[in-house]
This record gives sequence, C-alpha cells and structure tokens, in this order.
Amino acid sequence: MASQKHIFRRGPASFRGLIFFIVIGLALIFVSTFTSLLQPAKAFFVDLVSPFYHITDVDTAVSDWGEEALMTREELLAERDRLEDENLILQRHSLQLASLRSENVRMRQLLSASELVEERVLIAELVGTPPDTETHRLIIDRGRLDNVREGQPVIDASGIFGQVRIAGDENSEIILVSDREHAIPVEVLRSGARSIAAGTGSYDELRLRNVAPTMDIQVGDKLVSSGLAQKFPRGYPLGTVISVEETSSSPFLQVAVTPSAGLQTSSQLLLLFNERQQINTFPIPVEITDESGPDASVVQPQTIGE
Amino acid sequence: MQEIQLRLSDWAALLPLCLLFYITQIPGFGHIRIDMLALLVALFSVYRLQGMPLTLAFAIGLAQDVVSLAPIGQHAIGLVVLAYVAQSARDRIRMQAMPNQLLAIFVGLFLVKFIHSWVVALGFGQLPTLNSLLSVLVTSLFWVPVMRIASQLTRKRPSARAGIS
Repeated sequence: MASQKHIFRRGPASFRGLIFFIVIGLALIFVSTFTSLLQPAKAFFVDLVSPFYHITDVDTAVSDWGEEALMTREELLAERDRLEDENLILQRHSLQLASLRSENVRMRQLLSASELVEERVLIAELVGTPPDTETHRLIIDRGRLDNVREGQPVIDASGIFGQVRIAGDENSEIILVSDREHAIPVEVLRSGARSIAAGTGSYDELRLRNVAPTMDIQVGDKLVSSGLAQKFPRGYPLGTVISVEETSSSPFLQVAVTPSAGLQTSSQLLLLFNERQQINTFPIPVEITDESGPDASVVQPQTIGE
Repeated sequence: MQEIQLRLSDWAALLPLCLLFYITQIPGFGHIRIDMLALLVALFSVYRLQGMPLTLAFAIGLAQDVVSLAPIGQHAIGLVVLAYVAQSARDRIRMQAMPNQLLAIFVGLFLVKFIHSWVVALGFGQLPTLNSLLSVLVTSLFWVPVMRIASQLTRKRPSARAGIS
C-alpha cells in the first residue's frame, strides 16, 4: 500500500491552539456585536451569500413554475376576474383615501400643524431566510443601488413587517417585528394610548412593554405605528391585542399582540421611503405600472402641478 | 471498527454541499435547521484522514457565520471546541457502535448549540428556545447517513478496500 502524503500534522489537538482560537472568536464576537467596525463587511456579506439563497430557493421556483404551467384556462380566467374585482375595490379605497388626505391637510393648515410626510414604496421580493432559528431575519433583493438604507421600514399588504438591518449593494437583510431584538413605538387606534411593541421570538406574538394598569387598552384593540422615533411612519397597522393580563409579579400589564403582517407567508414586501412634502400639495390616487425594471416598480404618489 | 478514508477532493466537495444543506429550509419545518457543517467537522475530527487542524474548523465556522449573517465568530468558536473535543475522544468514538456514536455526536452538537446560545444571550439577554434542541437532535440523526456516504466513498477507492474491516 502506497504511503499517504499528509498535509496536516498528526497528533492530538493543541490545548493552546484551542484557547487561541477561542480568544480570537470572542474578540470577533465583541467587535461584531457591540461595535460598528464590521458593518461594511456585513453589508458585503449580504451580497456575497445571496446567490446561495437563490440556489436553495430553486425548489420553490420550480414549484411555482409548475403550478403556473399546469393552470387551466378556466382557472386563469377566474383568477383574472378575482384580481380585477379586487383592483376595483382598491381603487375605490384609494379615491376615498385621497379625499380624506385632502381634508386632513386642510384641517392641519387651520391648526397650523406640522407638514405631512408622504411615502413612496418600492416592491421587494424575499430571497431567503438565514438558518439561525433564534433570530427572525430575511434577505430581500433590494439594496443600496435601489436607495435602500439601514433602518428603512418594510411593510407587506397587511401591516408592518420589519425594517432593514443591513443594506448591501443589491440585497439587504431585514429584521422582522417578531425578532427579540426589535421594538417599535405604537399607539392604540381606539384610545390613542402609546406604548412600545417588542418581538418575543414567536411569529405569532408581540408584547407591549411597561404598560401601566391605568392605560386604556383592551382585547381587540388595533395597534398602529405612532410615528415616534422617526423610524416608522405613523398610522401603519402593527397588530391586534389578544390578551391583557395583570400579574402579581409585575406592576405592569402583560399585553400580547398578534402581528397583522404575514411574517411567515409574505414573499413580496414594500419598502417605505419617507419624503417631506409641502402642506399645500395634495396627493392624488396612485397607480402601479406594469412595466419591467426596478424603477418602474416604484409606486409614486403624484402631486398636483407635477 | 469502521474506517473512513476520503481524499482531500472528497472533503472539499462535501463542504459546499453541507453549506447549501445548512441554509436550505425544510418545507414545513423552517424552525429546524440541519447543521451539516458541524457534522462535517465532527466527521473530520473523528475519522481524520490527514489530521483536522483547529484552523480549518475555525475557518469553516467563520464561513458559517458569513452565510448565516450571524455575529462573526459565533459558530467559529463552537466548531473549534467541537473539533477539539472530537479529536480528544476520537478513539473512543470510533470504537463505539452506531447508537453510542449518535449519543456522542448529540453531546458534541449540543455543546456547539450551547456556545451559540450563550453568544445569543450575551447579545440579546435572552435564553434559547426548545427549537434549538430539536435542531440538535435532528442533526445528530444525520450522522448515520453521513457515515454511510463516507463509507461508500471509501469503498470506491481501490487502495482503501483492503483496509475495511
């Protein structure tokens, strides 16, 4: 038998080597977690690993293609009719919204209130899910080249989804509202009471922090973003209160909230771009174009006079 | 005692496959992730063909951190400790029957997950959930097919056939 050429040194592992690598690893963890020195590297890594997630998404793509290819003409026509009806209803809501916004602007003028903030949106698609089950993060196919920035709010069709955590050039990592690291200022739609909703690590539950027993909140209340901390625009739905409990171990109420957004199901998301707008310009109903390309997918509120 | 002898090219081919397996979600079981990279490091360390330097385990751990977008160093520390422990107990593990090997691998992977969770707790002040233990349990069960694949690759080598017991 021919002798094997050894590339690595044989023998038991060195304990000193173990200590050395542990110290290096701890130093890297400290720098990565508590400082922003590695932030540029993290942004680069998001773009670097995205092709891997695209590869693992092949089975979903094949499944979706198969479903589309096997659809009958009747099913396609029924789907088209359903979407047309839905679009008609949404257009009606959009017209109502424009009218309400105009009225809101006039009232704010009378009260000498601050400027309204208009938002643009950019559609993004889910690329993949990092394998760490303790965190709730996703990778999307929009990045700095699309003017995406860190901290940018992300919503889906039902409500607030999360925010951009790391923005690479072409892809970004977003953190979901259910992540234990995430918190968002909210207000109760019915009473206007304000609190902070924090993630719990469960996709189905958020918790309000430090809720005083005197706070006007009850089961069934809708929570929306309060607009404080200048991160999330005001008025977007976050979730619904599902339980309000008093406990003897804490002076605060234990309030559980179920998120409105489809945190485990949504694959198409919207990135919100806040833009300051003068109070004497009024938005008109928006239109979504069906042209291809990244810019064409931006839904822009049109203002009178543009 | 089963002997595993793989070429460097076999190990190099297994690494990206394990990486892809690690980041692939199991349909319907997204909360369970199979840590194939840790299994690969364990396989290296127990059946080291040419030795398993801690440097390589650290590098694989850094790659795992990059791919999973975790704090850099989190998985690297766990895999280095796993490599060291597996090397220290390699003779005992190789002498054991498969069920006992599974138990040893489960303990090693649990150690990796414990270190990972300690880092998470350090950053967020939160304890890990039971999903982590479930992932460790399921991952350790994959030791059996990994060993079978490695054995098949070993048997295909003419020079290795004489050494199989």
